[in-house]
Amino acid sequence: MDSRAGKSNWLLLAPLYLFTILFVALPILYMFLLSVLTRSQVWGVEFDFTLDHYKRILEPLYLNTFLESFRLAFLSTGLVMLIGYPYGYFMARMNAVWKKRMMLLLMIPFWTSALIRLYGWIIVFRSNGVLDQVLMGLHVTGKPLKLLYTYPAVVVGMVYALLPFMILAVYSSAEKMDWTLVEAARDLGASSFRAFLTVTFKLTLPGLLSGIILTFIPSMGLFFIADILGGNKIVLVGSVIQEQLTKGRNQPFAAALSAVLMILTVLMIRLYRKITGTSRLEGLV
Amino acid sequence: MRRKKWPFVYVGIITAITYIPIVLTVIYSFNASKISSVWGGFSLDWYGELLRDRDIREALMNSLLLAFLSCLCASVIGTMGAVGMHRKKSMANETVALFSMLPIMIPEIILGMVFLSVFSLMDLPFGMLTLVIAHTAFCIPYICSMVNTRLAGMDRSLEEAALDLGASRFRVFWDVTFPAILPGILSGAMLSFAMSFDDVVISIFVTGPTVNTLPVKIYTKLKTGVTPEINALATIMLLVTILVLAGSTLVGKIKNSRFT
Amino acid sequence: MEENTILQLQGVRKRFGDSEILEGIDLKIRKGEFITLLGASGCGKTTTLRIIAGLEFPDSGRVILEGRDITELEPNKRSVNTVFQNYALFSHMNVADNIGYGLKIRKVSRAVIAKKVEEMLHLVQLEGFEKRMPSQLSGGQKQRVAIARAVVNEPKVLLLDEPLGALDLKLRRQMQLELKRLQKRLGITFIYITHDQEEAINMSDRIAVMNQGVLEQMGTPNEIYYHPVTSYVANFVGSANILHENGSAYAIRTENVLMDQEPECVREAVVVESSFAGGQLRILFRLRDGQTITASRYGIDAGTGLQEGAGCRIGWKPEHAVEVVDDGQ
Repeated sequence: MDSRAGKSNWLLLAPLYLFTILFVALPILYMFLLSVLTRSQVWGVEFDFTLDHYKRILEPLYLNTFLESFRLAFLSTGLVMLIGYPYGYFMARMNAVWKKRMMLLLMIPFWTSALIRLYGWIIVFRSNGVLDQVLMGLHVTGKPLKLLYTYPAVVVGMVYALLPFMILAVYSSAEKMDWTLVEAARDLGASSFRAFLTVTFKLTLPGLLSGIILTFIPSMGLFFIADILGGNKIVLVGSVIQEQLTKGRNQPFAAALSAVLMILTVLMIRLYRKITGTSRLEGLV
Repeated sequence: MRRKKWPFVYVGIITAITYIPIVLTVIYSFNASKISSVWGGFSLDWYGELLRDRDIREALMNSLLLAFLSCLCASVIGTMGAVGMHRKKSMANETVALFSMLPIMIPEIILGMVFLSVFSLMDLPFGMLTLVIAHTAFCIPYICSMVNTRLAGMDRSLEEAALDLGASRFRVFWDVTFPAILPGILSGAMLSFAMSFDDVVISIFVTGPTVNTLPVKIYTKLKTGVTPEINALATIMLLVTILVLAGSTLVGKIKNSRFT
Repeated sequence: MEENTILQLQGVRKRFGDSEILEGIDLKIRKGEFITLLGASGCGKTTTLRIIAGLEFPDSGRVILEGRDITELEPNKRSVNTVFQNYALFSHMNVADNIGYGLKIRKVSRAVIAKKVEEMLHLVQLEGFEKRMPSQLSGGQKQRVAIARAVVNEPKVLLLDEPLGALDLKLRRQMQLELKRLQKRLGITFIYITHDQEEAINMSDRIAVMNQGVLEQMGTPNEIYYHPVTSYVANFVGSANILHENGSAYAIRTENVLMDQEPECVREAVVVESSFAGGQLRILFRLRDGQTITASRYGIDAGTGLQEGAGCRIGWKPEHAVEVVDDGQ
């Protein structure tokens, strides 16, 4: 409003400031602090500076976990992108009535518990489950594939859980696009493919990038998907953090793992910021 | 431009696939057989079983209470903060705004880890209190974003007009700003409620030994072994989701006719 | 201070960041006057209005209402009301609630509010619209509600920020007349903002022409039109030629440029081009010393026989060449 609105403003801001500082900013700082402290015998920490936990991450066992997490995250994000981008793009091109219908259809699974949706995949993948029966019925395969607790099952689960984020991100940037620009490009002699590449793709890039971040970042931490659909075979960074906290009782090491993950996340968001010039993630909420 | 069919076909197929696990869950919730791969005829047994399960009932009540409380706290804190920041821009505000968004930008596992260590450092009793604090943290960003969108779309001269007509700054907020951002608060609150109700990762870390939320309960059940009860539970939750969504669309329709 | 001065601005300055929006505005407005602040967008007229309303505060200078310094007073404490450019009607309140808002704030009883709202609706010819929502009104109707909502509080000064800007030409003309009539009837001082010189001339008792944060000239429409003080004013109100002769600058209105037979036509000129626009024929001449002069005539056949490149004699009556300060615009 104007310069004098500030007088009573601190009252409005106080709760958010207090909560954010106390329960977000300081805890994150504490995590970084924790990651260089020494673990005490039982539970808790001693205030001795050490970089051992970071060194430990470089051990082949944990380094491999990181690499494995990255591989899964890349694979899932890639698939989500391939499936979700055209979906979001097509949805943005539908008329208002269909847009609303599709949005509702998309939102129902999105709003249903992620666990419950995963549970549905157990029914599909389990030995002699629906997929096996269908495939055997079609004589594609002679015996049950036993897909549950395999890598592909985890990938499907990841893609399934994260797809809506990509679709919404792409949709929200494609929706805002001025379609006459595409017509202008066509008018200026571009083929429809070229027009797509030079205009549509460029203008929906913020949505796509935002979608990539919104799928890549969570996919490193969704240990419960790997847990449920992968059994104990696939170990991700998230699983290690959880294990170190609950079973290993090693807070500092868990903090160091989280810190690395956090730094990677911040780097990705900064990269996004640099490319798109905004820090607002398209389609986040 | 020409209308092509295949975009619809593509979107249709993908959507259908996303519904496969959901539809299967619903079908198998009426399966009389205990083995989920065999169809043993229609039955409502699992629903009965579910109703008798005290653990599930308790977890459900916990989850509802948790979602309600964190949604309420986040709505109040988030709305006040968003309005305050809209009124006056400053470096400090920008920094706090950025930090307040972090809980939904970083992987959930980090947030869970951070809360676990901080709460034990603070010596807070793990249970409903810690759950509410943690959930409020990741609900605030949803409220803030939704309210910010409304505030950005709001005509500033409306507030000025009220002020010009003699209203105090407090009256201006209640008479003009609040009604304008209310739809944002409501949709943010709905999203928060859903996110809180659905959360597994963070809850696992900050819940106490005596308090179980529904997702945590389901998670443990899924890890230890499948019971067809879950099918029935999933179906009920799906039904609730559809009802809530339908309700909100209806509310949205009424709101739109009044507010535009 | 003069007896009938209601509002006074003294050396009002305002800057936003690096740009100086108002470079010291002095203004005296009499009671019951219809004053127009006229200028191109960005000239500082809206900022001036907002400072009077209390929606902005000046960096230096004073705002005096009826002899009282209100420079630092909050907008809700000033008996000044504003009609906003985009109407700013509360979209969640019906017409009656919108109009009665200011009264409700001042805790006027419901019965009185209802009566006053009815009077206002009658005044702006919207009887029976009490229960309508703003979204159900046309642009002109919204405008009337916005005016009623401000006027009902009986402000000492009513501020109007380009209130007719969003209306089409025909409705605009009609509303101009209505506003003028309303102002006469209510006797309230109006401070009106516009960038439309025609509107300013039609409605105002006095016009204040602003340019880049400076008040260039204040006077009756007549004074502004016929006796501009600066080349900017001469050009902004109507269209004028600025001619430089013997180190002075003169403003000559295009319609006052004479051609051919008149005895004043003593200057040799060449027709550069002629064009027809908006019911007006405009002919561009070049004088011997290279300066150009535009003449305008009504009707398309007014300039028959003037071929491009043809020689011609032009001139003007001495009283039509007004000496002005050339501010280079």
